[in-house]
Formats: sequence, structure tokens, C-alpha cells
Amino acid sequence: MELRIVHDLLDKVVLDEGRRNIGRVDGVVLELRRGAAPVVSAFEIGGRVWARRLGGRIGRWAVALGARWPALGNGVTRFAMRDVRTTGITVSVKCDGRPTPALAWENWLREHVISRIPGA
Amino acid sequence: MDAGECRVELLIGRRVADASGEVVGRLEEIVADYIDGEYVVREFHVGAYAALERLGTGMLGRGLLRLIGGDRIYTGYIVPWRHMDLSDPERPRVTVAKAELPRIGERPNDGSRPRPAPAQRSRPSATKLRTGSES
Amino acid sequence: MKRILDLTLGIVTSIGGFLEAGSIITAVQAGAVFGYKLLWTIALGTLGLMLLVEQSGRLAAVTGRTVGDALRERFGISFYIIPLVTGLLVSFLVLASEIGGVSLALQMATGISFQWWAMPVAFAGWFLLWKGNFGIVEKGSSLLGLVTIVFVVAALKLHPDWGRVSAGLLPTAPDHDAARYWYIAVSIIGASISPYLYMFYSSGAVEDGWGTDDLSTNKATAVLGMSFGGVLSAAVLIIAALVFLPRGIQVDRYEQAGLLLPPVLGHTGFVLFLASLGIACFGATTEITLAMAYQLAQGFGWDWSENAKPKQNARFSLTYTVTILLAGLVMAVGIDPLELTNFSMMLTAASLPVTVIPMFVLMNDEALVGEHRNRWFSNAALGALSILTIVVLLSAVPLQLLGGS
Repeated sequence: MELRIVHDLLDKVVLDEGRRNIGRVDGVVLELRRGAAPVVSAFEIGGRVWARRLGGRIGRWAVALGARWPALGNGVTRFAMRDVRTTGITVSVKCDGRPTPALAWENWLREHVISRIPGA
Repeated sequence: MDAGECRVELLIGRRVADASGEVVGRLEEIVADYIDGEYVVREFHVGAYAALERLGTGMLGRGLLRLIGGDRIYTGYIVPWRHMDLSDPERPRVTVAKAELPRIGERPNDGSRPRPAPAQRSRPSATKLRTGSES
Repeated sequence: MKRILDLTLGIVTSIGGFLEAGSIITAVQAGAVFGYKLLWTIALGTLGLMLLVEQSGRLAAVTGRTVGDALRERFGISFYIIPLVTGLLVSFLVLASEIGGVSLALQMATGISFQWWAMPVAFAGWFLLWKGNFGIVEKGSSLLGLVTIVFVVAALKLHPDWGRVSAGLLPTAPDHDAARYWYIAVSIIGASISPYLYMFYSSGAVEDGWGTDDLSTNKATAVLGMSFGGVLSAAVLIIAALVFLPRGIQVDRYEQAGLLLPPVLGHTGFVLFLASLGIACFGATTEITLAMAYQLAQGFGWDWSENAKPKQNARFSLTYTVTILLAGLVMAVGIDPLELTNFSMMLTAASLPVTVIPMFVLMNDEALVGEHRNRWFSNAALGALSILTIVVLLSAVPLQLLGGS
């Protein structure tokens, strides 16, 4: 079974075991090994991770912004590839996404803001 | 290849040079095989656009070029994992000469592997994504 | 049978939801200053929109991905950030001008300044999004929006010289005030082909769970719905040409636009104009707000669904809440709605290449859309449209400086 990192993994929507959207694959980690083929070990979700990809001055600015106000981002969530399945459309992970940093803002907003408004 | 970690998303789009320093193209894709529970990298795809190589226009630019020019403009090389040196992630290097690399398109089903026509079954899962989560 | 019902509903909602502040104001201004001469731009803009709506619908039906999803998935975040930021910026200004449209309709109805109406309107829109679901939001305002058919009625009542009207469908150069002519021409393009329209459409297709068997409905809705909608814009232009041009009324205030229908339909005409303006702009308000929230949520993989309760999509709901209220604020502080409408239409037109050109790649990507990729005809049309958008982009700054009021 083949995995094409850019085509099937990077920037695809990530679903947890409850079919919730956790986020998108912002970065992919390759583990380099001496004398052996590299292994796609994990992928990451996080503002810091995709901000770096913006390139040039904007990218550096975005990263600096994230460093200055860490609360802006979610923190980086790493998922090991062994728990991952890709369909070419979405990426599924075998865990509950709710406690992960990826959904930190979603959870916080739901509890402290959205739920306080009637009709939510 | 040294041990360590390497970030794919920062590698993609970087210019790749061969052993003699000649530019091969830009890194476009990394292909891995699922072996014994691991995704083991098999090869890297480096796309080359001859004279237009200098334009780092990203995937949109390459997509447009491919569309307009078809196979005549788009060529690419397959770099087997053992010939790719990622010790400097900002300057990925091929450890052999460019001429020794197989070209994409020499093997059938390279480049963009057409996915089987998206069937109805892919839609229900998409709808499931949309109709929210059970909180 | 169900298919016919769906199709009819689709067409009807497209008609009812077609007009909004930008298309009304630009059509009125076009007719008031240049008679029928700018009809061809409405035709051109409508054709362009038809194309993009059909393709974005096809994309969603075949892949289950919206345009927003596909743009990030195929081109990466480093590209997507561009249409995301420009789209949000431009849409925000258009949104504010739509709230302005509703507020001005209310001002004309009650005498109370539009600035006082802005926040209540924004709040009403928010409430509909908060409590409603996608079906209600989309179909509700669109069905009410059928009141805009009054423009067709009025245009027919005026018995225009259809020969001269048809002549307006051919592109002609202006015989006076060229800068203003092209300025309005470009604004009409921007009013017709707003990116939020086709991005919203693809999100709707996914919310409604379209599949490959909905493709013919999609095509028919796009072609018929947009054509009939375009007829509405044309009707507004024709009325303005017959009512304003002979009297030399140049519309630089919304209140003057209110004089459009009374000469034809009396006081009822005035009421219907206000109703049309208010409802059309209100529909656009909720649609644009949703479209912006979709763009952000889809780009970053949040849960997004108007059908789900706000609690289930916290970031998505917060986004549309903040957006609509901020846009209301822009009107509340007193920015001139007409000027903002004109400016945002120009800006929309200039921003088109960023979303139109990628569609070219997406709709030809065999791995993505498979056998449903563009035939040569769609590609030729899309290619021509892409070139048009680039020409428009290049002319936007000079036109804004030379032709803007």
C-alpha cells in the first residue's frame, strides 16, 4: 500500500475515532535513519507548524507572532503514523481528538463562550 | 544518510541538486510503502521545468504549467531513497548524477496516479464530516 | 419527480437570492448614466458566474470537497493563505455594504438613520444563523427574495424598445465619460461574480450531501438559475435607463435609487423596492457571513456545519458571530453605504484571479474529479474568464482612481 505524502497526507483533514474534525495535517515528520530508508514517523497539527510554511517575511512574522502570544495557537499535536490511516481524501487517527491541543480552542470556546449564549 | 528528523512540509518545493551541483528540479512528492506497520520511504519525485525552473511558483504554478503544456513541459525524476541526501534540509542533494535518474513517465502510473472515479461511497463519509460531531 | 422538485427549488432559490446591494446599485448606475449600453457586462458577468457555480457544484458533488477544502488540499497552506486572506477582506467589505443596504431600506421606510439600524440588522442576521439551519437560511431568504421579480414586472410595464435593449448586449465603447463607463463595467463584473457566491454554493452542496447523481440538477440550476437571476439585474438596468436617464438623475445616494419604481408602479412600487432591497441584502448578509466562516473553517479543518448546533462547531460559530457583528459596526459608525458598495464591487472584481485561476487546475485534475473533469468547452470558457479576471485586476487601480466617484 502506497502513501504519497503531499497528495494523500499533507493538508488533508484529520478525523478522530469519533469522526470529528480535529484539524488539517500541517506538517509531516520524516525519521532519518543511518543506512536505511527514512520512515514517515508522524504528522503534526499546529499553528506554529503551518506558519513556518508561509515562507519569506510573512512566514517569519507569523512564527514570531505565535512565539509572542503562544495562546494564539493551539500548541502542536503530534500523531504517530502507526495510528493513522489515509483515504486520499481524509486522514483518520485511532484516538479521541478532544483532549489534544488541536482541539484546545474548540473546547475552550465551547465551554466558556458559545455555551453561555442561549440557543447554542 | 544521517539519523535525525526532517520536516517534509519544509522540504517540499526546495530545489534539489545532483552530485555535481547541477539542479535537478524541485522536490514535489515523497512516496512511501506501508511495510510491517511503518511507512517506509521508497522514493522522492523531483519535478523539472527546464527554463521555467527558476520560478518557485509553487504547486499552483506547476499545476497550471502541467495543464497547459502537458507532458512536453512537465518532466520529472524519480530519486530512490538511497540516492537522496537530506543532511542539509535546506539543500537536498541527489548523490548521483542527474542523468542516472529514472524519469517520471517512464514507468506507467507515475506522476499523478488517477484515483478510481470517486464513487458514491466516498460521499456519505464526507457528509458525516459535515453534520457535526456528537459532542 | 423529486429531481424536478429539487431542480425547481434550486432555480427558484437562485433567482430569489441573486440580487444584492452590489448588483442593484451597479445596475441602477449603469442604466442611469449609459442607458442600455452596459447590458453586455451583466450578460458577461452572469455567464462567468454560471460557469463557476456549475464547476464548484460539480467539484462538491463528485469529491465531497468544497472549493475551500480543495484549494488547501491541492495547493497547500502557503498558497491557500492568499485566497483566504483576500477573500475574507473583500467579503467583509461586501458584507458591510449589504448590511448597509438593509439599513438604508429601513431608513427609507422609517426615516430613522441607517446607522441606528446597522446593529439590529446584524443581530437579526446572527440570530438566523445561530438558530436556523442551512436549509432555512438559504431557502428562507431566497424564497422571500422572489419579491425582486417586481423589477421584471416593472421593466415589462415600461415597454422598452427591445431592439435597442438587444443592441446593449453587444459590447460597445462609450461615447462619453469612458473612465466611468469602464469603472461601472468592472464593478458589474465584481457584483456578478463574487467569490463568496460560488464558494458558498459548493459548501451548500456538501451540506446537502450532493452526489454524482445530482450533477444534472447542478448543471441545470447553475444555467437556469443564474440566467434568470441575470435577467433580474438586467431588468433593474432597463428600468434605470428609462426612468433615470431621461431625467438626468445620476444616482449617488441610495435614496435616489428609491425613485426607481414609483414612476412605474406608484406607491406600491416604492414599497416593493424597499422590500426587494431589504430582503435581497439581508439574504446576502447571512450568505456572505456563512461563506466567510466556511472559508476559515474549511481552510483549517474545523468542524463546520450550519446544520449542527453552534455548540458543536464552536470556532465556526464564533467566527460568523464576530464577523457579522463587526460588519454591522462598520455601518453603525457611518461609512457611506453607496460608496462602500461601489468600492467593494471594484475590489471583488480585482480579487477574482486568485480564486478563478486555481479552479482551472482543480477541475482538470483527473485524480480529483476523475471522469467528471472539464470538457474542452468548459476549459475554453474558464480560460477566457481567467484572462478576463487578469485584465480586470490590471485595470482596477487606474479605474478606481479615474472613474470612482
